[in-house]
Amino acid sequence: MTAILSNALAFIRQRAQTWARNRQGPDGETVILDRRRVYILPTRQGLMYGSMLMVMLLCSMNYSNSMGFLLTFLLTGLGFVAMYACHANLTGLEIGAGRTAAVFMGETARFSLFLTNAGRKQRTAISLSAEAGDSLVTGDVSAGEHGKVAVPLAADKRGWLKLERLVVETSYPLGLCRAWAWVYMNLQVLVYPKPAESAPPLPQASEGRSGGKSVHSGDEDFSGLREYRAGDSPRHIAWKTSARAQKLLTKQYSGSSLEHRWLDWDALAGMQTEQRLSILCRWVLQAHAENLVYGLRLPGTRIEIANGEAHRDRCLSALALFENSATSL
Amino acid sequence: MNAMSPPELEAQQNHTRLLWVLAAMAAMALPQALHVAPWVMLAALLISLWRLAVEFQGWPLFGGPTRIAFGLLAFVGVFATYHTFNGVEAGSSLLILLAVLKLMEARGLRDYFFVLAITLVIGIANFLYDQTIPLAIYMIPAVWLAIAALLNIAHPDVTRSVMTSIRVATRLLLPALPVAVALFLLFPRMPGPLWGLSTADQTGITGLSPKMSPDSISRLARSDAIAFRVQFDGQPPTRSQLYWRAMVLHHFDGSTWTRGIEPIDNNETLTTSGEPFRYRITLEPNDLHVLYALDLPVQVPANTLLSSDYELTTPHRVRERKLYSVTSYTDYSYGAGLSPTMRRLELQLPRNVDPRARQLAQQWAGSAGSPAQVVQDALRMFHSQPFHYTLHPDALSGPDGIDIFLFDTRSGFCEHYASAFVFLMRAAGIPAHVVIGYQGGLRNPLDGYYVIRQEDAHAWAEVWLANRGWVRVDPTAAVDPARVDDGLSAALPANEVPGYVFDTHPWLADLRNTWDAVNNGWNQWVLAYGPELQQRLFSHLGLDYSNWLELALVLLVVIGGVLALVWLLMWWRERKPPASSVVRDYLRYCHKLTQAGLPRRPSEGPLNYAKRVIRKRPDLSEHVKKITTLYIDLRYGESGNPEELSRLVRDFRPQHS
Repeated sequence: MTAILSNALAFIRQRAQTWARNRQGPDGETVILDRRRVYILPTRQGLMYGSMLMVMLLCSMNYSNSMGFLLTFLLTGLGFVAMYACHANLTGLEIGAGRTAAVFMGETARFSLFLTNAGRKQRTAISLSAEAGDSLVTGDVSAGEHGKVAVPLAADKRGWLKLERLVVETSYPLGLCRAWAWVYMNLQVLVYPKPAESAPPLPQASEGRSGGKSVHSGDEDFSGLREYRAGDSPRHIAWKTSARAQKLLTKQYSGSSLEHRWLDWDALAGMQTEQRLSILCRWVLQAHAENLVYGLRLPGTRIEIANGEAHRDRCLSALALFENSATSL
Repeated sequence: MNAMSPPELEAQQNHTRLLWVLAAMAAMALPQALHVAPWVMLAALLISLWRLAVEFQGWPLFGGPTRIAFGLLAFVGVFATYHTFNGVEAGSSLLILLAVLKLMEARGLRDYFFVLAITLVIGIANFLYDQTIPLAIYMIPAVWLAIAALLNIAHPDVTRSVMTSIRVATRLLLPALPVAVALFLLFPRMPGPLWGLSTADQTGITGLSPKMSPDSISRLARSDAIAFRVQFDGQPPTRSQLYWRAMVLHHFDGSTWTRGIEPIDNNETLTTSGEPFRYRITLEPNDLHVLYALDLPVQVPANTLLSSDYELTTPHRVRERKLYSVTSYTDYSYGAGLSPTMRRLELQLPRNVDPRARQLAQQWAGSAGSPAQVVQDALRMFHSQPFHYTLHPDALSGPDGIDIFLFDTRSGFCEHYASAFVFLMRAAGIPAHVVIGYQGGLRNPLDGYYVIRQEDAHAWAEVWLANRGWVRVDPTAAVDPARVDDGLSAALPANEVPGYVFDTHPWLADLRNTWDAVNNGWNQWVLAYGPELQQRLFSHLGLDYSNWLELALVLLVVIGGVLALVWLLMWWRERKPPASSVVRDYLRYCHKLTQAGLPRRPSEGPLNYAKRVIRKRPDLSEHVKKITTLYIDLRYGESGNPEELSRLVRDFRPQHS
């Protein structure tokens, strides 16, 4: 019985969402929630409140009790006002898309959004969630405020993770009804493969200028010290300084070393695609952490040797979208 | 913006919810302490304190079985106290106990919300006991608090101060007021209860009872509770005409007069003369089937019945304040033709009691030429012999009470005189009966209403004389004419005047008159607002409702009107999208530059505009740069102080520099 009911509810919800989607059309970079797209329905508490009002009304009628009527009607009016306030809490809110940082598979993507309250009143307890609605961010936007929020969404697949539908909702002030709006912005974030927990050591450095281009400006320019990380070459450890500091410190060089490495798909023959990508991802991170110069070779893709954050991101994007490019922008 | 609540946040939220719901409950249930059994309030208080100790001292919550046991105990206890679950006291007691027990297992929003809903129902039950102005005034902050509690249950926020909560509640309650008033006036009211009211609801009503024993009226005379109020349409009757008829008592058992078998007399004849008196009565609940009316009612309201004794009866007991209109004639004669059955009823006397009184009556009957002469003989006896009018007569409950009163104690209250007089008449062969009701009443100079209190309760007699029918005879007036002319306190010996009689101090009397007038206005216009007043309002508005279809239509119109109002508010809000203060300030800055001859081009962004302005007016460079940078930060970045922008724009004077 409950299964039938929940199925029916799910069906109705599905139909309502389709209807709203067709009615609203896609949204741009910024959206102002106008009255036409803010929906409102009573919550479970609202239904309870309604039953309470019925009990009060029957009680007042039975005893012909004037003050009872007055209190009942005051609470009825309050219900209407709360409904209006709940709706007004949402209408007119401006939502803009922000820049969202890429994540690794298995992490939670945080879609960055801007909320602008051009109104004169504070908007309280506005919740945003991805479609699933399970994890919410809730907060207030005061009058004239321009605030930033991050809507979490689990990244469980590599490639582009889309936020198909953003739910903006509120049940403020009395929780008797819930006003919500569906926003269909084209929000997406790149999900890199999950870095392998254990990976083979980085491929050996190849000397020479196979890339043909110098990627560094000076030779071994010592730039500073940082704490030792697993995988740092023992040659780069500053032994004397480490002895004084009571911990291992690694020397860092600007301009990097002469050596460069190719992170090669073919070096991992005999493994599953995802596992290979996962290991390559770990290598990229490791190479970047060690400030190495490296290139990436994938079937059909070749990223020339370089270093730096932009280079790392290019490599990770290539891994994320490997055999998956159909879904890119 | 903060992330989804971890368990500690949830606990903190429930902490806030608990404190608010307890505060609302305390405020709402406090007036119940005057009505429900003390153990209920005590148990509720102890359980609430326990719940607070759970929150602050780490005491254990009640386990499931304990809760169930307490729940059953609550039911058993309430039933043992009230012998019913129906009725306001029993119902309120149960609600109070169940609400505090529910707090012992409240886990989140839904549970706390449920407890608050019960609290609001407890609040409305307060009005079922009484609807006085003080209670109404008390309930205003209580409801206010409950709404603030509702806010904090739905959206608990530790950073929100109590004052903020109250402010939000105010903003929600103020617009709800007109809606409440509209619904109050227009929501169709139906007469009568929907289901039977339990007898437990009606306790402690002081007022007439349908019988008269030797202390029943004098007991009432010690109460200054208001019995009813009267508003005359035209000239009011004189004070000595103010006999308010309630019930006629036919049957005497030796000590108590009762109504006996209701006489049915079809040969009813009524002749009236003089001007009729039209008036409206606001009757306080008397728990009787009887309405009071000026002796003698002729035109009566719908749904009431005039008995052959001219008692004004109603099918339902009067359990709430009732407003009705009557027309009476004080100059009348009725019952000229007395049927043999009636005559026998009106001559009934218990056998073998009060022999001395019987003997006296028969002696009068033998010597007097007519029944009227016998009446005069009796009144002369009360007047000339040393009879006293007193609030504290000697006990006369035994047998032969009338003999003792007439020949030994000779002091009594109106019920003694009426009882003895009717006894004497019947013993003399003259049909007679006792009438109980009220006599007198004080006019409140502030609003012109006559106020009749329980102290004005009175008993008098009617005797049947051939060719004249029933004639009112007030033996008390023969003993002490002041009772009828000036009221009870004038008639009683000075040392018996009860302390409540305010008339001895003029300013106290003024105070009481004012308070009465305020209360009366409240009663007339707020509490008595029911089907009758609503019908009057509707006919003023040109509406007519007489059947359910029209009632339903009115209801639809009311609800539609309320919704339209809400819609209108939304539309109005949408129509004027308010610019943010930042944008307003920037536009003000652009306006100042326009006046200085440098209008902003439609295609120009803030930065390009600033560049152009600085090129033309290098003197403004610093100010323009500051404003533009701050505006961009405020609008598109996440930093900056909007007040700083306001200040900069205010101080920006491109024309004079």
